Amino acid sequence: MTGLANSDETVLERFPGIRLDHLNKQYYRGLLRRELLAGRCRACGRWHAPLRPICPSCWSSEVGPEPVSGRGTVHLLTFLHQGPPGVDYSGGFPLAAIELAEQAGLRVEATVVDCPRDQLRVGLKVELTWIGKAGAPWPAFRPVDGPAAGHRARS
Amino acid sequence: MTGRNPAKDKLAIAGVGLSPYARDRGATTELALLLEAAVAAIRDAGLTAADIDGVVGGGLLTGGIDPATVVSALGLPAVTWWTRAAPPIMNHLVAAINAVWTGACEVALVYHSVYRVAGFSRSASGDPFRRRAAYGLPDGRAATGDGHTDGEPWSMRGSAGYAAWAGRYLAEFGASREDFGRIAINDRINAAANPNAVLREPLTMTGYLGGRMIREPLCLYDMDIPVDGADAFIVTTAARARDLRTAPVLIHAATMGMTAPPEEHLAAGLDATGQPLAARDLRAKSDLWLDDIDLFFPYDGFSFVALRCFESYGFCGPGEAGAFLADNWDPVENRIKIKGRVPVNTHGGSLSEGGSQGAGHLREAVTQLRGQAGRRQVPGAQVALLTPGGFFFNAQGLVLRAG
Repeated sequence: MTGLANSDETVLERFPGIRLDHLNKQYYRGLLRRELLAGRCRACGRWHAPLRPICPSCWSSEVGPEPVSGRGTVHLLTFLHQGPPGVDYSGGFPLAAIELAEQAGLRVEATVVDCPRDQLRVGLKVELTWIGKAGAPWPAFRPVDGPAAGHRARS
Repeated sequence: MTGRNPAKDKLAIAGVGLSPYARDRGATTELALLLEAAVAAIRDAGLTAADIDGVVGGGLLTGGIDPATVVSALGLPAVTWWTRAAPPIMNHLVAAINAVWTGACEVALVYHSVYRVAGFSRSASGDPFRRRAAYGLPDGRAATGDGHTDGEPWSMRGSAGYAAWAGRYLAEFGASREDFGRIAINDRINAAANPNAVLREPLTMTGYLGGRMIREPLCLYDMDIPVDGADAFIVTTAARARDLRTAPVLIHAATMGMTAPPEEHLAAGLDATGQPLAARDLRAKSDLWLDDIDLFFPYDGFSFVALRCFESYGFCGPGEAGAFLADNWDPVENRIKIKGRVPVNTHGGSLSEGGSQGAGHLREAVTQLRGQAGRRQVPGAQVALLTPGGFFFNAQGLVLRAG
Protein backbone atom coordinates (compact mmCIF):
# COMPACT_ATOMS: atom_id res chain seq x y z
CA MET A 1 0.00 0.00 0.00
CA THR A 2 1.19 3.54 -0.53
CA GLY A 3 1.17 4.78 3.00
CA LEU A 4 2.36 8.18 1.89
CA ALA A 5 -1.09 8.78 0.53
CA ASN A 6 -2.73 8.30 3.92
CA SER A 7 -4.62 11.45 4.83
CA ASP A 8 -5.18 12.78 8.33
CA GLU A 9 -8.69 11.37 8.11
CA THR A 10 -7.31 7.89 7.37
CA VAL A 11 -4.90 8.02 10.29
CA LEU A 12 -7.73 9.11 12.58
CA GLU A 13 -9.92 6.27 11.31
CA ARG A 14 -7.24 3.57 11.60
CA PHE A 15 -6.24 4.50 15.18
CA PRO A 16 -9.57 5.38 16.84
CA GLY A 17 -8.30 4.74 20.38
CA ILE A 18 -5.17 6.88 20.22
CA ARG A 19 -4.96 10.49 21.36
CA LEU A 20 -3.70 11.72 18.01
CA ASP A 21 -2.42 15.24 17.43
CA HIS A 22 -0.77 17.22 14.66
CA LEU A 23 2.68 16.00 15.69
CA ASN A 24 2.23 12.34 16.60
CA LYS A 25 0.07 11.72 13.53
CA GLN A 26 3.35 11.40 11.61
CA TYR A 27 4.40 8.46 13.78
CA TYR A 28 1.09 6.69 13.27
CA ARG A 29 1.09 7.43 9.55
CA GLY A 30 4.47 5.68 9.56
CA LEU A 31 2.95 2.62 11.19
CA LEU A 32 0.41 2.38 8.37
CA ARG A 33 3.29 1.97 5.91
CA ARG A 34 5.12 -0.35 8.34
CA GLU A 35 7.81 2.13 9.12
CA LEU A 36 8.96 2.77 12.70
CA LEU A 37 9.84 6.43 13.11
CA ALA A 38 11.73 8.36 15.75
CA GLY A 39 12.52 12.05 15.97
CA ARG A 40 15.91 13.21 14.77
CA CYS A 41 17.61 16.57 15.08
CA ARG A 42 19.26 17.87 11.94
CA ALA A 43 21.33 20.32 14.00
CA CYS A 44 22.97 17.94 16.48
CA GLY A 45 22.09 14.57 15.00
CA ARG A 46 20.58 13.18 18.21
CA TRP A 47 17.52 10.94 18.15
CA HIS A 48 14.48 11.17 20.42
CA ALA A 49 11.22 9.34 21.01
CA PRO A 50 8.38 10.12 21.15
CA LEU A 51 8.33 12.86 18.52
CA ARG A 52 8.93 16.31 20.00
CA PRO A 53 8.52 19.82 18.51
CA ILE A 54 12.11 20.72 19.42
CA CYS A 55 15.21 18.64 20.08
CA PRO A 56 15.33 17.66 23.77
CA SER A 57 19.14 17.75 23.58
CA CYS A 58 19.88 21.12 21.87
CA TRP A 59 16.43 22.75 21.52
CA SER A 60 16.79 23.18 17.76
CA SER A 61 13.51 23.28 15.84
CA GLU A 62 15.17 21.44 12.96
CA VAL A 63 13.67 18.11 13.96
CA GLY A 64 11.63 15.57 12.10
CA PRO A 65 10.72 11.89 11.97
CA GLU A 66 13.13 9.39 10.41
CA PRO A 67 12.91 5.60 10.12
CA VAL A 68 15.01 3.60 12.55
CA SER A 69 16.88 0.41 11.69
CA GLY A 70 14.65 -1.68 13.91
CA ARG A 71 17.55 -3.42 15.61
CA GLY A 72 17.83 -3.26 19.35
CA THR A 73 18.08 -4.90 22.75
CA VAL A 74 15.49 -5.80 25.38
CA HIS A 75 16.13 -3.22 28.12
CA LEU A 76 13.06 -3.73 30.31
CA LEU A 77 10.68 -6.66 30.39
CA THR A 78 7.52 -7.66 32.21
CA PHE A 79 4.93 -10.36 31.62
CA LEU A 80 1.33 -9.25 32.04
CA HIS A 81 -1.08 -11.81 33.44
CA GLN A 82 -4.18 -9.66 33.26
CA GLY A 83 -5.32 -6.49 31.57
CA PRO A 84 -7.66 -5.03 28.99
CA PRO A 85 -9.03 -7.45 26.39
CA GLY A 86 -7.33 -7.99 23.06
CA VAL A 87 -4.28 -10.10 23.82
CA ASP A 88 -3.55 -13.55 25.27
CA TYR A 89 -2.49 -13.29 28.91
CA SER A 90 -2.22 -17.04 29.52
CA GLY A 91 1.42 -17.69 30.38
CA GLY A 92 2.08 -13.96 30.53
CA PHE A 93 1.94 -11.42 27.71
CA PRO A 94 5.44 -9.98 27.20
CA LEU A 95 5.79 -6.21 27.25
CA ALA A 96 9.27 -4.83 26.71
CA ALA A 97 11.14 -1.59 26.35
CA ILE A 98 13.49 -2.04 23.40
CA GLU A 99 16.66 0.05 23.34
CA LEU A 100 17.22 0.83 19.68
CA ALA A 101 20.66 0.48 18.10
CA GLU A 102 20.68 4.10 16.95
CA GLN A 103 21.37 5.62 20.36
CA ALA A 104 21.66 4.77 24.06
CA GLY A 105 18.39 5.54 25.81
CA LEU A 106 16.34 5.63 22.59
CA ARG A 107 13.60 3.16 23.44
CA VAL A 108 10.20 2.01 22.27
CA GLU A 109 7.57 -0.05 24.07
CA ALA A 110 6.52 -3.23 22.28
CA THR A 111 5.69 -6.86 22.73
CA VAL A 112 8.12 -9.60 21.71
CA VAL A 113 7.01 -12.39 19.38
CA ASP A 114 8.51 -15.61 18.00
CA CYS A 115 10.48 -16.18 21.17
CA PRO A 116 10.11 -19.00 23.69
CA ARG A 117 9.38 -17.74 27.15
CA ASP A 118 12.55 -19.24 28.62
CA GLN A 119 14.74 -17.38 26.13
CA LEU A 120 13.11 -13.99 26.54
CA ARG A 121 15.20 -11.88 28.92
CA VAL A 122 16.76 -8.48 29.45
CA GLY A 123 19.71 -8.13 27.09
CA LEU A 124 18.26 -10.19 24.23
CA LYS A 125 19.12 -8.85 20.76
CA VAL A 126 15.94 -8.22 18.78
CA GLU A 127 14.72 -6.79 15.50
CA LEU A 128 11.58 -5.09 14.32
CA THR A 129 8.65 -7.05 12.97
CA TRP A 130 4.99 -6.20 12.54
CA ILE A 131 1.80 -7.48 14.10
CA GLY A 132 -1.81 -6.41 13.74
CA LYS A 133 -3.58 -4.48 16.49
CA ALA A 134 -7.23 -3.54 16.07
CA GLY A 135 -6.87 -3.85 12.32
CA ALA A 136 -3.80 -1.65 11.94
CA PRO A 137 -0.08 -2.50 11.73
CA TRP A 138 1.72 -2.31 15.07
CA PRO A 139 5.44 -2.70 15.79
CA ALA A 140 6.73 -5.75 17.64
CA PHE A 141 10.16 -7.30 18.04
CA ARG A 142 11.58 -10.80 17.65
CA PRO A 143 14.93 -12.38 18.41
CA VAL A 144 17.61 -11.51 15.86
CA ASP A 145 18.70 -15.11 15.68
CA GLY A 146 15.15 -16.38 15.43
CA PRO A 147 13.40 -18.86 17.68
CA ALA A 148 15.22 -21.84 19.11
CA ALA A 149 14.20 -24.17 16.29
CA GLY A 150 15.97 -21.94 13.80
CA HIS A 151 12.74 -21.04 12.08
CA ARG A 152 12.74 -17.40 11.08
CA ALA A 153 9.37 -16.21 9.96
CA ARG A 154 9.25 -13.27 7.59
CA SER A 155 6.05 -11.30 7.37
CA MET B 1 17.94 22.05 43.57
CA THR B 2 18.83 24.81 45.97
CA GLY B 3 18.91 23.49 49.50
CA ARG B 4 17.21 26.77 50.46
CA ASN B 5 14.46 26.21 52.96
CA PRO B 6 13.29 29.53 54.38
CA ALA B 7 9.95 28.05 55.47
CA LYS B 8 11.62 25.43 57.67
CA ASP B 9 9.44 24.82 60.76
CA LYS B 10 7.44 27.98 59.97
CA LEU B 11 4.34 26.14 58.76
CA ALA B 12 2.32 23.40 60.37
CA ILE B 13 -0.34 20.80 59.85
CA ALA B 14 -3.01 21.80 62.34
CA GLY B 15 -5.82 19.43 61.49
CA VAL B 16 -6.50 16.02 59.98
CA GLY B 17 -9.73 14.42 58.85
CA LEU B 18 -10.57 10.99 57.50
CA SER B 19 -13.38 9.46 55.55
CA PRO B 20 -12.72 5.80 56.41
CA TYR B 21 -11.23 3.55 53.76
CA ALA B 22 -13.15 0.51 52.58
CA ARG B 23 -12.94 -1.93 49.70
CA ASP B 24 -16.37 -0.62 48.67
CA ARG B 25 -18.18 2.29 50.30
CA GLY B 26 -21.21 1.45 48.16
CA ALA B 27 -23.78 3.91 46.85
CA THR B 28 -21.97 7.10 47.75
CA THR B 29 -20.12 9.78 45.82
CA GLU B 30 -16.54 10.97 45.77
CA LEU B 31 -17.71 14.39 46.93
CA ALA B 32 -19.45 12.88 49.96
CA LEU B 33 -16.24 11.12 50.99
CA LEU B 34 -14.18 14.25 50.48
CA LEU B 35 -16.56 16.46 52.48
CA GLU B 36 -16.64 14.00 55.37
CA ALA B 37 -12.84 14.24 55.60
CA ALA B 38 -12.80 18.02 55.08
CA VAL B 39 -15.36 18.77 57.79
CA ALA B 40 -13.52 16.46 60.18
CA ALA B 41 -10.20 18.21 59.50
CA ILE B 42 -11.62 21.71 59.95
CA ARG B 43 -13.32 20.72 63.19
CA ASP B 44 -10.20 18.89 64.36
CA ALA B 45 -8.33 22.19 64.12
CA GLY B 46 -11.14 23.96 65.94
CA LEU B 47 -11.89 26.14 62.91
CA THR B 48 -14.99 27.05 60.93
CA ALA B 49 -15.82 27.67 57.27
CA ALA B 50 -14.97 31.35 57.66
CA ASP B 51 -11.37 30.50 58.61
CA ILE B 52 -10.60 28.56 55.43
CA ASP B 53 -9.24 30.91 52.75
CA GLY B 54 -7.21 28.42 50.71
CA VAL B 55 -8.34 25.21 49.02
CA VAL B 56 -6.25 22.63 47.16
CA GLY B 57 -6.88 19.02 46.23
CA GLY B 58 -7.59 16.37 43.69
CA GLY B 59 -7.72 12.63 43.14
CA LEU B 60 -6.35 10.21 40.60
CA LEU B 61 -8.95 7.95 39.10
CA THR B 62 -11.75 10.36 38.32
CA GLY B 63 -9.60 13.42 37.94
CA GLY B 64 -10.76 14.39 41.43
CA ILE B 65 -13.11 17.06 42.69
CA ASP B 66 -12.56 20.66 41.64
CA PRO B 67 -11.85 23.22 44.40
CA ALA B 68 -14.84 25.30 43.27
CA THR B 69 -17.11 22.36 44.01
CA VAL B 70 -15.60 22.05 47.47
CA VAL B 71 -15.98 25.77 48.12
CA SER B 72 -19.62 25.52 47.04
CA ALA B 73 -20.44 22.38 49.00
CA LEU B 74 -18.79 23.63 52.21
CA GLY B 75 -20.14 27.15 51.78
CA LEU B 76 -16.73 28.74 52.30
CA PRO B 77 -17.47 32.47 52.38
CA ALA B 78 -14.07 33.99 51.54
CA VAL B 79 -11.41 32.07 49.64
CA THR B 80 -8.37 33.93 48.26
CA TRP B 81 -6.36 31.01 46.86
CA TRP B 82 -7.17 27.66 45.30
CA THR B 83 -5.77 25.20 42.81
CA ARG B 84 -6.35 21.67 41.68
CA ALA B 85 -3.60 19.13 42.28
CA ALA B 86 -2.83 15.75 40.77
CA PRO B 87 -1.69 13.11 43.27
CA PRO B 88 0.56 12.05 44.99
CA ILE B 89 -0.16 14.03 48.12
CA MET B 90 2.95 16.24 48.05
CA ASN B 91 1.61 18.03 44.99
CA HIS B 92 -1.24 19.13 47.23
CA LEU B 93 0.89 19.79 50.30
CA VAL B 94 3.69 21.72 48.58
CA ALA B 95 1.08 23.90 46.86
CA ALA B 96 -0.48 24.65 50.24
CA ILE B 97 2.92 25.32 51.82
CA ASN B 98 3.77 27.79 49.07
CA ALA B 99 0.41 29.53 49.30
CA VAL B 100 0.51 30.00 53.07
CA TRP B 101 4.18 30.99 53.03
CA THR B 102 3.63 33.70 50.42
CA GLY B 103 0.46 34.99 52.03
CA ALA B 104 -1.86 33.88 49.26
CA CYS B 105 -3.92 32.40 52.07
CA GLU B 106 -3.70 31.92 55.83
CA VAL B 107 -5.40 28.57 56.36
CA ALA B 108 -5.43 26.01 53.55
CA LEU B 109 -7.75 23.03 53.31
CA VAL B 110 -5.90 20.16 51.58
CA TYR B 111 -7.98 17.24 50.36
CA HIS B 112 -7.39 13.94 48.59
CA SER B 113 -10.02 11.41 47.62
CA VAL B 114 -9.99 7.96 46.08
CA TYR B 115 -13.12 6.60 44.43
CA ARG B 116 -12.98 3.29 42.61
CA VAL B 117 -14.25 3.53 39.07
CA ALA B 118 -15.17 0.87 36.53
CA GLY B 119 -12.10 -0.68 34.99
CA PHE B 120 -10.18 -0.28 38.23
CA SER B 121 -12.05 -2.76 40.38
CA ARG B 122 -14.49 -5.54 39.58
CA SER B 123 -17.09 -4.46 42.14
CA ALA B 124 -16.93 -0.89 40.89
CA SER B 125 -17.70 -2.16 37.39
CA GLY B 126 -21.05 -3.41 38.69
CA ASP B 127 -22.15 0.10 39.69
CA PRO B 128 -23.53 1.98 36.66
CA PHE B 129 -22.81 5.29 38.37
CA ARG B 130 -19.17 4.34 38.85
CA ARG B 131 -19.01 3.49 35.17
CA ARG B 132 -19.74 7.14 34.59
CA ALA B 133 -17.54 8.47 37.41
CA ALA B 134 -14.59 8.86 35.06
CA TYR B 135 -16.75 10.19 32.24
CA GLY B 136 -14.62 12.28 29.95
CA LEU B 137 -11.49 10.48 31.12
CA PRO B 138 -11.84 7.09 29.43
CA ASP B 139 -8.10 6.61 29.55
CA GLY B 140 -6.21 8.47 32.24
CA ARG B 141 -2.97 7.62 30.50
CA ALA B 142 -4.00 9.41 27.36
CA ALA B 143 -5.11 12.35 29.45
CA THR B 144 -1.86 12.68 31.34
CA GLY B 145 0.96 11.78 29.04
CA ASP B 146 1.92 11.44 25.41
CA GLY B 147 5.23 9.67 25.88
CA HIS B 148 3.59 6.33 25.27
CA THR B 149 2.00 4.84 22.20
CA ASP B 150 -1.06 3.42 23.94
CA GLY B 151 -2.32 2.13 27.26
CA GLU B 152 -1.53 -1.24 28.84
CA PRO B 153 -0.82 -3.91 27.55
CA TRP B 154 1.09 -1.95 24.90
CA SER B 155 2.55 0.67 27.20
CA MET B 156 4.67 0.75 30.35
CA ARG B 157 2.96 3.81 31.76
CA GLY B 158 2.12 3.20 35.40
CA SER B 159 2.03 -0.30 36.82
CA ALA B 160 3.75 -2.14 33.98
CA GLY B 161 6.70 0.24 34.12
CA TYR B 162 7.24 -0.44 37.81
CA ALA B 163 7.04 -4.17 37.17
CA ALA B 164 9.57 -3.94 34.35
CA TRP B 165 12.08 -1.97 36.44
CA ALA B 166 11.51 -4.39 39.33
CA GLY B 167 12.48 -7.20 36.96
CA ARG B 168 15.60 -5.37 35.84
CA TYR B 169 16.50 -4.72 39.49
CA LEU B 170 16.23 -8.43 40.29
CA ALA B 171 18.42 -9.28 37.31
CA GLU B 172 20.99 -6.54 37.94
CA PHE B 173 21.52 -7.15 41.64
CA GLY B 174 20.61 -10.79 42.02
CA ALA B 175 17.85 -9.77 44.42
CA SER B 176 14.87 -12.00 45.08
CA ARG B 177 11.11 -11.69 45.37
CA GLU B 178 11.52 -12.33 49.10
CA ASP B 179 13.01 -8.83 49.29
CA PHE B 180 9.76 -7.38 47.95
CA GLY B 181 7.85 -9.74 50.23
CA ARG B 182 9.35 -8.25 53.39
CA ILE B 183 7.79 -4.90 52.52
CA ALA B 184 4.38 -6.52 52.08
CA ILE B 185 4.62 -8.63 55.25
CA ASN B 186 5.78 -5.64 57.32
CA ASP B 187 2.86 -3.57 56.08
CA ARG B 188 0.35 -6.27 56.85
CA ILE B 189 1.48 -6.82 60.43
CA ASN B 190 1.28 -3.07 61.03
CA ALA B 191 -2.17 -2.90 59.44
CA ALA B 192 -3.47 -5.36 62.02
CA ALA B 193 -3.35 -2.53 64.57
CA ASN B 194 -4.98 0.04 62.26
CA PRO B 195 -8.80 0.01 62.24
CA ASN B 196 -8.76 2.03 59.00
CA ALA B 197 -6.78 -0.64 57.13
CA VAL B 198 -8.75 -2.83 54.75
CA LEU B 199 -6.30 -5.80 54.80
CA ARG B 200 -5.49 -6.91 58.35
CA GLU B 201 -4.93 -10.68 58.09
CA PRO B 202 -1.26 -11.60 58.62
CA LEU B 203 0.74 -12.47 55.50
CA THR B 204 3.48 -15.10 55.59
CA MET B 205 6.39 -15.35 53.16
CA THR B 206 4.91 -18.56 51.81
CA GLY B 207 1.61 -16.79 51.30
CA TYR B 208 3.36 -13.87 49.63
CA LEU B 209 5.34 -16.07 47.25
CA GLY B 210 2.15 -17.91 46.35
CA GLY B 211 0.32 -14.70 45.48
CA ARG B 212 -1.28 -14.54 42.07
CA MET B 213 1.13 -13.05 39.54
CA ILE B 214 -0.21 -9.84 37.98
CA ARG B 215 2.69 -8.11 36.24
CA GLU B 216 5.83 -10.19 36.62
CA PRO B 217 7.75 -10.04 38.85
CA LEU B 218 5.07 -8.19 40.84
CA CYS B 219 2.21 -10.23 42.29
CA LEU B 220 -1.07 -9.32 43.94
CA TYR B 221 0.66 -8.47 47.23
CA ASP B 222 3.13 -6.08 45.60
CA MET B 223 0.43 -3.65 44.49
CA ASP B 224 -1.68 -1.29 46.56
CA ILE B 225 -5.24 -2.23 47.32
CA PRO B 226 -8.03 -0.16 45.70
CA VAL B 227 -10.30 1.57 48.20
CA ASP B 228 -12.90 4.28 48.54
CA GLY B 229 -12.00 6.98 51.05
CA ALA B 230 -10.62 10.46 51.60
CA ASP B 231 -8.20 12.43 53.74
CA ALA B 232 -8.02 16.13 54.52
CA PHE B 233 -5.46 18.33 56.23
CA ILE B 234 -5.30 21.90 57.50
CA VAL B 235 -2.07 23.78 56.72
CA THR B 236 -1.36 27.14 58.30
CA THR B 237 1.48 29.07 59.88
CA ALA B 238 3.16 27.54 62.90
CA ALA B 239 2.26 30.68 64.87
CA ARG B 240 -1.44 30.31 64.03
CA ALA B 241 -1.31 26.57 64.65
CA ARG B 242 -0.03 27.11 68.18
CA ASP B 243 -3.23 29.02 68.98
CA LEU B 244 -5.45 26.18 67.77
CA ARG B 245 -6.79 23.24 69.72
CA THR B 246 -4.48 20.51 68.39
CA ALA B 247 -0.76 19.96 68.88
CA PRO B 248 0.86 21.35 65.72
CA VAL B 249 3.03 19.15 63.52
CA LEU B 250 5.75 21.27 61.92
CA ILE B 251 6.68 21.00 58.26
CA HIS B 252 10.45 20.84 58.49
CA ALA B 253 11.38 20.15 54.86
CA ALA B 254 9.47 19.25 51.72
CA THR B 255 10.55 18.46 48.19
CA MET B 256 9.66 16.94 44.84
CA GLY B 257 11.95 15.37 42.25
CA MET B 258 11.71 14.78 38.51
CA THR B 259 14.39 14.13 35.89
CA ALA B 260 14.24 13.90 32.11
CA PRO B 261 13.07 11.67 30.65
CA PRO B 262 10.40 10.86 33.24
CA GLU B 263 8.62 8.25 31.11
CA GLU B 264 8.95 4.81 32.67
CA HIS B 265 10.40 3.09 29.60
CA LEU B 266 12.85 5.91 28.90
CA ALA B 267 14.31 6.50 32.38
CA ALA B 268 18.09 6.35 32.19
CA GLY B 269 18.31 4.15 35.28
CA LEU B 270 16.95 3.74 38.79
CA ASP B 271 19.84 5.85 40.06
CA ALA B 272 18.83 8.69 37.74
CA THR B 273 15.12 9.00 38.51
CA GLY B 274 13.25 11.58 40.56
CA GLN B 275 13.48 9.43 43.70
CA PRO B 276 17.23 9.91 44.33
CA LEU B 277 16.89 13.56 43.30
CA ALA B 278 14.14 14.08 45.89
CA ALA B 279 16.35 12.36 48.45
CA ARG B 280 19.30 14.65 47.68
CA ASP B 281 17.18 17.78 47.76
CA LEU B 282 15.42 16.81 50.97
CA ARG B 283 18.80 16.04 52.55
CA ALA B 284 20.01 19.52 51.60
CA LYS B 285 16.89 21.16 53.05
CA SER B 286 16.59 19.17 56.26
CA ASP B 287 18.49 19.46 59.55
CA LEU B 288 17.09 16.07 60.52
CA TRP B 289 18.09 12.89 58.74
CA LEU B 290 18.20 9.12 59.01
CA ASP B 291 19.69 8.94 62.52
CA ASP B 292 17.16 11.48 63.81
CA ILE B 293 13.90 9.92 62.67
CA ASP B 294 11.48 7.94 64.81
CA LEU B 295 9.20 6.93 61.93
CA PHE B 296 9.86 6.06 58.28
CA PHE B 297 7.13 6.08 55.66
CA PRO B 298 8.53 4.88 52.32
CA TYR B 299 5.80 5.07 49.70
CA ASP B 300 4.57 1.61 48.80
CA GLY B 301 2.09 1.91 45.97
CA PHE B 302 4.31 -0.91 44.74
CA SER B 303 6.47 -2.88 47.17
CA PHE B 304 9.48 -2.27 44.95
CA VAL B 305 9.18 1.52 45.29
CA ALA B 306 9.46 1.21 49.08
CA LEU B 307 12.33 -1.27 48.83
CA ARG B 308 14.31 1.06 46.58
CA CYS B 309 13.66 3.98 48.97
CA PHE B 310 16.00 2.37 51.47
CA GLU B 311 18.73 2.67 48.83
CA SER B 312 17.82 6.08 47.39
CA TYR B 313 17.69 7.66 50.85
CA GLY B 314 20.97 6.11 51.94
CA PHE B 315 20.00 3.53 54.52
CA CYS B 316 22.09 1.14 52.42
CA GLY B 317 23.78 0.94 49.04
CA PRO B 318 22.26 0.04 45.65
CA GLY B 319 21.01 -3.53 45.58
CA GLU B 320 21.44 -3.91 49.35
CA ALA B 321 17.89 -3.18 50.52
CA GLY B 322 16.91 -6.84 50.75
CA ALA B 323 19.84 -7.62 53.03
CA PHE B 324 19.17 -4.41 54.97
CA LEU B 325 15.59 -5.46 55.66
CA ALA B 326 16.72 -8.93 56.69
CA ASP B 327 19.28 -7.39 59.07
CA ASN B 328 16.73 -4.95 60.48
CA TRP B 329 13.88 -7.43 60.83
CA ASP B 330 12.47 -7.80 64.34
CA PRO B 331 11.66 -11.51 64.62
CA VAL B 332 9.48 -11.06 67.69
CA GLU B 333 7.29 -8.33 66.21
CA ASN B 334 7.66 -9.84 62.72
CA ARG B 335 8.26 -6.45 61.14
CA ILE B 336 10.99 -4.01 60.15
CA LYS B 337 12.59 -2.05 62.98
CA ILE B 338 15.48 0.01 61.63
CA LYS B 339 18.41 -0.35 64.02
CA GLY B 340 15.97 -2.08 66.33
CA ARG B 341 14.11 1.19 66.83
CA VAL B 342 12.34 2.79 63.85
CA PRO B 343 9.22 1.10 62.48
CA VAL B 344 8.20 1.44 58.84
CA ASN B 345 4.73 2.33 57.53
CA THR B 346 3.08 1.90 60.94
CA HIS B 347 -0.43 2.16 59.44
CA GLY B 348 0.12 -0.65 56.94
CA GLY B 349 0.97 1.50 53.95
CA SER B 350 -0.83 1.57 50.64
CA LEU B 351 -0.40 -2.19 50.34
CA SER B 352 -2.56 -2.94 53.39
CA GLU B 353 -4.36 0.20 54.56
CA GLY B 354 -5.42 1.13 51.05
CA GLY B 355 -3.99 2.95 48.06
CA SER B 356 -4.26 6.70 48.60
CA GLN B 357 -1.26 8.25 46.86
CA GLY B 358 0.56 8.99 50.10
CA ALA B 359 -2.40 10.66 51.85
CA GLY B 360 -2.62 7.76 54.30
CA HIS B 361 1.11 7.96 55.03
CA LEU B 362 0.77 11.68 55.76
CA ARG B 363 -2.26 11.19 58.04
CA GLU B 364 -0.48 8.43 59.96
CA ALA B 365 2.68 10.53 60.38
CA VAL B 366 0.68 13.46 61.78
CA THR B 367 -1.30 11.15 64.06
CA GLN B 368 1.89 9.54 65.40
CA LEU B 369 3.66 12.88 65.93
CA ARG B 370 0.65 14.06 67.93
CA GLY B 371 0.84 10.91 70.05
CA GLN B 372 -2.66 9.82 69.02
CA ALA B 373 -1.96 6.54 67.23
CA GLY B 374 -3.39 4.29 69.92
CA ARG B 375 -2.09 0.73 69.75
CA ARG B 376 0.28 1.73 66.97
CA GLN B 377 1.79 4.66 68.84
CA VAL B 378 5.58 4.88 68.75
CA PRO B 379 6.40 6.23 72.23
CA GLY B 380 7.75 9.77 72.14
CA ALA B 381 7.87 9.97 68.34
CA GLN B 382 9.25 13.38 67.31
CA VAL B 383 10.44 13.13 63.70
CA ALA B 384 9.04 11.39 60.62
CA LEU B 385 10.50 10.92 57.13
CA LEU B 386 8.04 10.35 54.27
CA THR B 387 8.70 9.63 50.61
CA PRO B 388 5.37 9.89 48.78
CA GLY B 389 5.26 8.95 45.11
CA GLY B 390 7.20 6.69 42.82
CA PHE B 391 10.33 6.91 40.72
CA PHE B 392 9.57 8.74 37.55
CA PHE B 393 7.31 11.76 37.35
CA ASN B 394 6.02 11.86 40.92
CA ALA B 395 8.85 11.39 43.44
CA GLN B 396 8.48 13.44 46.62
CA GLY B 397 9.89 13.77 50.13
CA LEU B 398 8.89 15.25 53.47
CA VAL B 399 10.28 15.63 56.98
CA LEU B 400 7.78 16.41 59.76
CA ARG B 401 8.50 17.09 63.41
CA ALA B 402 6.34 17.37 66.48
CA GLY B 403 5.71 20.99 67.41
